[in-house]
Amino acid sequence: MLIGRLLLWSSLALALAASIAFFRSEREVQRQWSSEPSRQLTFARRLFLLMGLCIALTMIYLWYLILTQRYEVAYVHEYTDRSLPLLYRFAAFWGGQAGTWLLWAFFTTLWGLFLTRFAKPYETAALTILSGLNFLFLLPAVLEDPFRVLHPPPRDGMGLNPLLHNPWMAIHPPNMFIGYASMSLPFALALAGLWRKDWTGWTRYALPACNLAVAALGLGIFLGGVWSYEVLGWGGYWAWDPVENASFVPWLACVALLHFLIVHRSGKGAARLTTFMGLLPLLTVYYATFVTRSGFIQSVHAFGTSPIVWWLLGIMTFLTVVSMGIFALRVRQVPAPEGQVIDRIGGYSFFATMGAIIAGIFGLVVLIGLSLPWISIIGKAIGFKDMPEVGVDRAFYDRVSFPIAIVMAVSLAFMPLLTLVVPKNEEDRISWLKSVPWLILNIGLASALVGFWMGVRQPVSLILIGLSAAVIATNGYALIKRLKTSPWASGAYLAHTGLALFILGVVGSELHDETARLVIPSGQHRSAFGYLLTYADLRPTEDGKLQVVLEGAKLNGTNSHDGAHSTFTATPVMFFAPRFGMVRRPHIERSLLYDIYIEPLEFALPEEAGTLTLARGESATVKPYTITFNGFRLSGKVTMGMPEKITALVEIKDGKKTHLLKPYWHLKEDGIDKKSDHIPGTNIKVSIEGMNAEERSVKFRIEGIDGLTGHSGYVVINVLKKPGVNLVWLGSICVLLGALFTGVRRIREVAKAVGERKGKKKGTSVTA
Amino acid sequence: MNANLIFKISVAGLAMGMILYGIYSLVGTVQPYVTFPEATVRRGTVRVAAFIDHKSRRYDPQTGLLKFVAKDTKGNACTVTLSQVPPGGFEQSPMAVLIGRMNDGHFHADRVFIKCPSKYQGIDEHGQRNANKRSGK
Repeated sequence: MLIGRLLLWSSLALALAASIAFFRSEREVQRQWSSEPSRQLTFARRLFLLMGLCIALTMIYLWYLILTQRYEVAYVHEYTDRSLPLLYRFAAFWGGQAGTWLLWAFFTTLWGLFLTRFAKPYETAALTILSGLNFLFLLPAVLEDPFRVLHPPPRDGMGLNPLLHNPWMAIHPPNMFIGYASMSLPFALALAGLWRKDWTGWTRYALPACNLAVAALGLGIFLGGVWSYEVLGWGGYWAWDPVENASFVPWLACVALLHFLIVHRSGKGAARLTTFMGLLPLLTVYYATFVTRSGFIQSVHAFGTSPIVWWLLGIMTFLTVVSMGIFALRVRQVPAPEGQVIDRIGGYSFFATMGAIIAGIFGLVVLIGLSLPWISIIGKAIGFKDMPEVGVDRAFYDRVSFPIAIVMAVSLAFMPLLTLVVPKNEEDRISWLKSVPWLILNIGLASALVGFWMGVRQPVSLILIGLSAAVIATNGYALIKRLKTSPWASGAYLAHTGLALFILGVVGSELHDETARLVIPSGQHRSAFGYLLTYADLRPTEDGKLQVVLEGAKLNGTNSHDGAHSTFTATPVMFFAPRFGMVRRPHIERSLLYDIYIEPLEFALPEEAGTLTLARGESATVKPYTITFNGFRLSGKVTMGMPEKITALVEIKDGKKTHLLKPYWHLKEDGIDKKSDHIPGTNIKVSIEGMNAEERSVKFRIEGIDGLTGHSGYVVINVLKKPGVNLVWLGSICVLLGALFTGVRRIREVAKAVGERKGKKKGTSVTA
Repeated sequence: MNANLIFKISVAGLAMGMILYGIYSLVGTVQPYVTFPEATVRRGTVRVAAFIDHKSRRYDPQTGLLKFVAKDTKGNACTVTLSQVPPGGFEQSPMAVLIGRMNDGHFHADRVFIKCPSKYQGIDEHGQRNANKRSGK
């Protein structure tokens, strides 16, 4: 569609124009023509706003096309169809690549507007870079060409993957892109700092921006985890899946940067490292995008399935080479301030450095695991032809997380006691320093003992429980103390308490979860983890999905179901989506301490005695016979798309001989003539009772074989008991809120400092 | 020796230790991508990127295992048993990475790896990305 293309191209052009305009006004600022807003700057701001407007209009237009069901438009055709409910039609906007790039560019623009208001002194330089980034984000959307018109115009679309038919689909992806877009903030500011040969100035604005970025991307990841847990049934909230890792690495980079910024702001030390780290969130997030969108890191797809991949690779290389090149240049040209990295062992910046290093190393390790498949790709490229492609098991991440969690928890446990408590004199200080380790050790041991008493035996779990409890105790103490005096300054302690709660939740739900697989015949019951589950019904929902209805009852101590009364009804859903196959949705029965997670695996519909339902190619054994359904043979005249005669080819082996039987249906105007076939010399007779075109299966009636007793149908479920899942959610929310609070506090501090400086300036001009 | 230097050295030591531990952890968790015939010769856990024949998918209520036929990228077919609950969207994906080992001519998969469902948009039955056959070009 012409309008869409026009709008999209205009957005792209305006991004470039805004970047150039900001570049020119930055040149003015650097030559110090004037500190007042010049005409050039006003022009640049207008171009930037116009770009934002154009992106918004492009999005609205694409939404309009989707909602009015214009299936001749490629994007609408590829990601929606007629049957899609309104909410998912709305969410289908980010079902494909072009939509997500638009979203990314849009949120980058919004973050840019935030920078113009909040980081005025750095506006021109940072927005030159941000507009340039927006150009690079919009480029793939233009190349994908979502407004392409299809010939001939299709009447319907291909539909949205049913797993995405979920309210989370309307929430999680846009959140993710707010987070992705926020990674551009530290990048733009750090690069602007390098451009201005200033190792320090940019950090004032980067610190709060970085806080918000940690909260924004963290929220996206968190919501992804909730979605995965509740709907996708990926066995939990986190699976170290490459897609998940790819979003986790930039987040860790951002957390590391945040801590380096704190170090740098407090003592002017680690200037080069902080600037270098400032470039990483965006570079890693782009790398992550490249990994997940190109797809070939899992070797599921052939190399270079889409021409866009090469563009992404090109843009990524460009960003890396340019930013690292400028960094290397400035390191040689401009001496960094000789600051102090740490004040003293056990001081505030000491712990901040620890935090930065822990997050940085964790990020590096995940990055290595994520990138391991490249080794073989590169190896092959340079001539080692028989280099096998490799992937790394999730056990790798679990293993490396353990020592990192320990170092993190130890430093977090000490941090508030050594930084917040100020002893009166030197003598007190020394005795306090001596008592702190014992205090923490005692809290840890006591908590581990409680864990032991509650039945935890694994050393790994006991260590983590003890350490987390110590972290919660010390940070909780600091949190309460801070809440009384300066609530906005309590964010760090809230976040660190949250981390410990999170670790406890992970210990419970990942190290102490239990699984049982139950096969429950219709109307009968099985028990697992103190619950009695009765397979009550298999009923279709309104929208044609099959819902397994299980009655759950809590057993009172004994395994007999006499004392049990029905406490909940579990309704996991399974359905067969025509274009996508089987979709399962778990049922989660929540309680404060643990979740009972019921995943449907398979169900069998009731089978009448004397009948057998087989899919094409399937066989069944009823001793001594093996019955195989080989497929259909269609013959005769075709009317209304149906052939006159449908023959089922059935093979029956009795151990010695193989017989081929051909029962058939003859379709006539006045009905169906069903003809059976039999094995000569026996009383075995096979006829077709019914057919299911969708599953390509046939229900046969077989006479003369004993043992086809039929069954009343059964359901196969997986039941998981996951203790402590609620701690995972609670901990994550604490981390996010902590980051957000601190961000808001620091924005206010910066605003205040800038306001004071302005006031001073005005004051001096008056006295002069 | 001042505190800064001690700190720098200990931090460097800690970082080195963690990185070495990370590399050490890689040993035993690195799984090569192989074909089914290659999997028979290898000991330990391997990965096979394979096309799944979903029509052959069958569940055995006795053993609690899911059985299906898969074809690796070289076209070798093999019967696969899966002990894990197939991940959401498994039946929707033409391809998956099977993680497990070969045993008696069957591939026993502990885990199946599929990509985020959104990444499967625009892939048809034959595993071809429909970008290649866009109409209008």
